[in-house]
Amino acid sequence: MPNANDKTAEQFKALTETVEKIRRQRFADLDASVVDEILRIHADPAADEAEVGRAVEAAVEQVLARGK
Amino acid sequence: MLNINAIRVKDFGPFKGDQTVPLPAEDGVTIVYGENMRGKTSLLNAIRFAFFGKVMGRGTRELPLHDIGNWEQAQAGKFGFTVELEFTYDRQRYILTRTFRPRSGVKKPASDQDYLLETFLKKGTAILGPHETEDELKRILPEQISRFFLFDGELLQQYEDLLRAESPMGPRISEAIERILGVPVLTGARATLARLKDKSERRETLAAQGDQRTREYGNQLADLKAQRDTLIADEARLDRSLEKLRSEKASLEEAMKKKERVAALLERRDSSERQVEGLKSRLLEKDALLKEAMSGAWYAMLAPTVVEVTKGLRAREKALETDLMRRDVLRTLQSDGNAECPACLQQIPDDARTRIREVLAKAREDGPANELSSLRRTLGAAELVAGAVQADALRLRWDAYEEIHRDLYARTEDLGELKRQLAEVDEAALRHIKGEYETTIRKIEAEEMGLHLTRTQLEDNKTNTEKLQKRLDQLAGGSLSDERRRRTAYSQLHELISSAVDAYRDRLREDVARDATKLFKQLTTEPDYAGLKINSSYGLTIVHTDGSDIPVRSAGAEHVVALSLMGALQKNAPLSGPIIIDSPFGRLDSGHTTNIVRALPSMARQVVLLVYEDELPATLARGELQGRLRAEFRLERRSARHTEIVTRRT
Repeated sequence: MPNANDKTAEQFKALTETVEKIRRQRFADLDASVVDEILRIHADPAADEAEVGRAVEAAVEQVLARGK
Repeated sequence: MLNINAIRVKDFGPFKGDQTVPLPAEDGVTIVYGENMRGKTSLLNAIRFAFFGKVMGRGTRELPLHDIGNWEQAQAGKFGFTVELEFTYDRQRYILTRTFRPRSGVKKPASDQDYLLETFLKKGTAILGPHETEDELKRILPEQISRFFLFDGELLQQYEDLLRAESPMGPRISEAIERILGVPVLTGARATLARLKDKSERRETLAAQGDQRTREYGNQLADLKAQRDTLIADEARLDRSLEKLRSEKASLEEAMKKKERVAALLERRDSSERQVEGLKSRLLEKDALLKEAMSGAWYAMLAPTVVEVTKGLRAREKALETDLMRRDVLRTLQSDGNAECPACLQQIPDDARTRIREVLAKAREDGPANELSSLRRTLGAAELVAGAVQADALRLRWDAYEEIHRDLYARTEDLGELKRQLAEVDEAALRHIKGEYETTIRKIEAEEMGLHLTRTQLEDNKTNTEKLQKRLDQLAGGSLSDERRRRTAYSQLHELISSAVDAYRDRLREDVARDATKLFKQLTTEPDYAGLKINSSYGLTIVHTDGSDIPVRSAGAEHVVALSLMGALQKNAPLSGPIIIDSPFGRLDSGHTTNIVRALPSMARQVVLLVYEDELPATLARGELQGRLRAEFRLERRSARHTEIVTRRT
């Protein structure tokens, strides 16, 4: 997370914990690392929308390729 | 953590020339005292200008920058101004300089177009480029959340809108709250995944259309997709339209509220007019009844005489009746030879019979009978007169007439006064607003119905798409199989993040409500208030110790609730920074002021208060804050258009 300080890291942790809890309960097949990566990509407030989209696609494609 | 170290202004508002407010590096409170018109709001705006390049008037109205330069300097032909902020963020030192200066060649600028806005950001020893500067400032203090750091009483008042479902301001504040709490990480991810899920569905459809076995399904999917695109566009259009209509409705409500007094006067006038008409018609009825009663009223003048005369006539009537009865007896005695005296029952002697005959001969035969008959006619007439004189009934009718007449006079006077008050009012404009309001409500109802229908169709579309995708899954192979896996992955990721948005929001609301309640209990002076309850838009309601909600609160209570929310947001948000407040105690009593001053150091590490002395006496601030009061400044008048920042205590 950019400009991470303690509070930012704490909040990001709370956020990822919330997502991870739901993933484990309902989407156990989904790769946890790609979910974390998607959240990390979106944590940059100054990131460009197209750039974010490309980064997410790349992360998902990587996981799909691994699963082949 | 953002910490401002110095605010330097040059020709900004009343601050003529170069002036600086050096802010202590230690955590605590700095107070800038200034009477009205000395530049407290200008100082707040100077910070706003440095970060966002704009200044705000009352509420959230943006002001033209051309009007912000120092007036004395402008009169001397010097236009434009500069604000420089020195701050630290994440242990890094920054100097942010924003200048508004006339374009070259413009000698006497007349509007913002005649100026250039220049921004420089120095990070450590490096000067950042324009894009880097923009990105860096977005990270340090996004404008959308500035309301939690830089605010005045009026901004605090807006938090009440979070409790009003249809307020146009409410969603904007909710969005800002979520932004500071980090929800956009999730909502942004959800939006990205929705786009990529859509893209993967298109790819899958194309792959299905390219395969002989699945072409029919692919075509159907393409049709459903086209239908969905139309429905989504409709949904967005209806959403936008509803938002606009709701905003219009709120503006009309505001306009009606402003004209509330006039509307009340108009209503009173209409009601008075109806009453006057009713009273007039009742007066006519009473008048007719009174006239009828008055036709015999003159009898009343004769009443005493008639009563006296009647008494005499009655006596005469009795005498005549006796006389006639005597005559009858005598006539019987005269005519019957064997008659006896009715008193002594003795035979009447002949000489007595002769005398009776003589008496009867002397008396006129029909005199008394005629007189009695005439007298009885007179008595009848007298009784008729006495009967006609019903003085009490007449008085009642007269009183009723008088009462209505008085009412009518008073009401007509009222009506006249109301008409005078309404003489200058544009009644048509007010009626137009009311009409517009009713039309807007009808439009909102229609659009809401349309939106509901569109969403139902979207649900149906989704169900049908899923059915088709399941059929395709059974036939999948080759490239279609890859597309199916991709689409499934995006679909699951989108669903996961969508669920997480709701769960995370619930968690944040709980945290904010808990911390706001804790702070509120420190700030309020009312022991019967148990805490605060949060709604889905982060609106806070005061809860009484008996468990009931406090539905209406004063402006002062609103400030206390809003400050509790601010404190809770500072505690829960990663983007913590200074709180700079302009005149926050104006609506608060000394009890609340004391509580808030005492709590300020726990709300943020750096607090800057812009106050006037009556609002926060220096002795109170020093007594409550003691060592946590780091510095005091005073805005001193040099002229109506020139203020100097003077250090009072550091």
